[in-house]
Amino acid sequence: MIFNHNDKGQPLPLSGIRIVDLTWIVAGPQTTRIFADLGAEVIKVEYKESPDYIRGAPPFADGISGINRSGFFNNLNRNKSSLSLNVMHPDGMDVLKNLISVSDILIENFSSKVLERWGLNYEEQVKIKPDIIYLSLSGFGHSGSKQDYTTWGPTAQALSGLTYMSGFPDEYPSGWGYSFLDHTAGYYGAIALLLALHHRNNMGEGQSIDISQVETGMALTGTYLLDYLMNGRKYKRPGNPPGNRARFDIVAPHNIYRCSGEDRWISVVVSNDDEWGKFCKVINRIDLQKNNLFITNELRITNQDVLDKELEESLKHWDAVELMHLLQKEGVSAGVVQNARDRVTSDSQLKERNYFQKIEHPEIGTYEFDGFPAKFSGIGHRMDRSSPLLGQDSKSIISDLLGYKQEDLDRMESEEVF
Amino acid sequence: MINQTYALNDVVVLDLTDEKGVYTGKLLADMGATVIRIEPLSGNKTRLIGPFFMDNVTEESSLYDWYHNTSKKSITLDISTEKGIEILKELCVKADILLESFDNDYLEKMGLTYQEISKRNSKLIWTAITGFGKTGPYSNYKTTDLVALSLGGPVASCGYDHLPGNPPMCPDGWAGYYTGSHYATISTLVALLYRDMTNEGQYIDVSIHEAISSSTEAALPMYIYQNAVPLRQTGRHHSINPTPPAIYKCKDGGMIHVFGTPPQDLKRWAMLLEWIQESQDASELLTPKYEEMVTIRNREPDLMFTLFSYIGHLINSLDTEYVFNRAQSIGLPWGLIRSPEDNVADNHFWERGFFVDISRENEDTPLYFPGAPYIFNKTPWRIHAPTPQLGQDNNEIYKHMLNFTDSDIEKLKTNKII
Repeated sequence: MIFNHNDKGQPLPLSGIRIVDLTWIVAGPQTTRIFADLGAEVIKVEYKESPDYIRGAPPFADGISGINRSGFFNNLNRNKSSLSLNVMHPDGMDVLKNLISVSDILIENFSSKVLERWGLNYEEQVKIKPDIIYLSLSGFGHSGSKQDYTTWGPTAQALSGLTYMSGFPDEYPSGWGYSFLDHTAGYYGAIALLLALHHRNNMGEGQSIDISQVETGMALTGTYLLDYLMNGRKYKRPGNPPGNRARFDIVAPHNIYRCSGEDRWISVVVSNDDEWGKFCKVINRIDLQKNNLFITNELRITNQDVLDKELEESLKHWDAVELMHLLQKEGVSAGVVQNARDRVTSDSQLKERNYFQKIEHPEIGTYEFDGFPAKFSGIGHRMDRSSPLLGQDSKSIISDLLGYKQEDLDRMESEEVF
Repeated sequence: MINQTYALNDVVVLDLTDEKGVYTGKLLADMGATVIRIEPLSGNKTRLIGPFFMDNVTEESSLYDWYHNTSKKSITLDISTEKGIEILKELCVKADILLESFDNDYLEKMGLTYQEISKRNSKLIWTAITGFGKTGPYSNYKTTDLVALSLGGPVASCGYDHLPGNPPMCPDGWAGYYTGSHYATISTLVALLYRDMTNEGQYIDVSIHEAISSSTEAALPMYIYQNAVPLRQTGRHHSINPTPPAIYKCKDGGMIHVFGTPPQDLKRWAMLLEWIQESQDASELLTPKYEEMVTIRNREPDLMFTLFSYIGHLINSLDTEYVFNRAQSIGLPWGLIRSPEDNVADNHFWERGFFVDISRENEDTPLYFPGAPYIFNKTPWRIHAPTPQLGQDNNEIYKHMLNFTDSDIEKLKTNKII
């Protein structure tokens, strides 16, 4: 086995794995982004008449829209190739099948019936490539009475229980301010494919995997599901969701407080009496430490309303970043509520670990990308290719990889197969 | 070739994680790995996280612990002693994967380092899960789920634009630690695949902060490409420009999350308008300028807010289930907002096997557990055993893995090493 290497000379662990990537929007591309970063050859199949929806989604470079100009798309689809293909044309379907025959994985996140309509369900794929690994990511999965229902991230969050679990009690849920479950479903997709590859290494066989985005969200509510199944206690009860306070009132203070400046906030968690003393000292409120209302964790929980009022009053004069460092140096868990600007420009931890890396894109220029969130001793990830221009690799894939002749290529081009 | 029914039958994992990484071991164990929790004699502190079965606070009754440790084994070992560390080293020699989430290089300070142990077991994969990673200025900072989600970005995107000051909100439910565990699992499996090919082990440094920071959707691109920080909005996507409310109350008190609206084709648009017209006069929406919301994706705020006020009226006048089913029947990806336990009543998830009975064969009463995050057709996800009691597998593991005799084990017990 020969591995490709990144620019630091580290082997890319998923070298040699080829993926037919029929996914779009966020969840599926999240799965294949991980594979592409770690060295797999991800061939993103789109058609120029119906490209990935995210190609049309803001933000755009320089604020100018265009099929190759979305920053969101660029971020999600780096290190991948693009094959434009009209699978409704018989020649297009022929190309797709030939591509499957030389690939390890086929992944899609269409509604549950689409691939079947194309005549490409798992049984058909196996006829083309006996050890293919097929992953489907859909809203409700490929079985069960709601299999035809469709979800996007926010829908799946609402249905799984996650939206409800966020916010102040007696208010609308504040939910998730973006499609968190698109990332999460994407992570389960990656985990599942890696497991299937390990099994193929051992047993020589592929398999089919069915992931429901709603169920990936439900898996994150397992403790609360057990509380209901075992104790009959519902999450939906007075006092829930707990705002920013500790669930089950384990510790106090445990909250987010406003600091000085526009929209500056800090999260603080004080988990025992020792930390409480240190916290009071750092914020120059020894009086609170001596106050009988707050002398034990239990009392701080009981008197949380008064305590939070006192802290709101004190912390609003602090610079959030300065306070975080002072508290952390004393061993108190505290963190600035960082927005994207903070993370890109002033987070010294991310900077020190080279989390953001730059890649040049042929049409829009050089931009920063968030890297892979783990470091390995003997392997690495790559950040060397921006997202592909729509269809940029069509010809080379069809002729070099799949061996079509020039005359086939010319015919397909004239019939707009790619 | 190895003969295996489950994807990770051939893998032995030592799990020393606390709540930061405990889910990682579960993901591996439910896919067939032999995962051995190594706990202090007093038990892992996750055993003290509520809620508790029948509200009975003991080290064996935490439902949090039950959920996150299915399919694992448990042994006790006091690794704060020299003898304990020696035994841990012996276990590392026999294992494939070590998972740990200690702060401040605890294992290294106790004398167990990757550099040393990899000389005795070059195939070992050691996955360290920490708040901020093993290097950098925050490497010794203390994380919590609240602080992790604050520094990583999600909290800045979640909140309440309809409340004064737009307070940022942290979603309940350990989402930060789950995200760290998802990346820890992905990274560990990637290292396992690399080992399949090379026989080489790996040291992996997983940063929860980076894992979360890579899970904030368009927030980073919005800043990187447009120098903009999106505004958080109640229960819906963060946005550079305000968008209409997405959550609406129904007649029966339930709530619907509206998404994917207006739809992208005129057929569904017509069906939506027809539905709205059933509850109110909406002739205003039948004009060409509203049709352009579909045909040319015109998202002019006035049009959007007006359309959503009609949709709000419609939803207010109907019951939740009806709205959900009808919206889905015309291809609108709206979701109803469920509390986690609401999903227990939805047959769909039982039909798919999300809930499983893990009672033993001789037990009459079923014991239902959540939840399969994926369905594999060849190597099934399965809860192989309920969460182990503290130290229940001491005899089996110490005898079989390390060839200890009964008297060895007695002596270790007497000396409070195990």
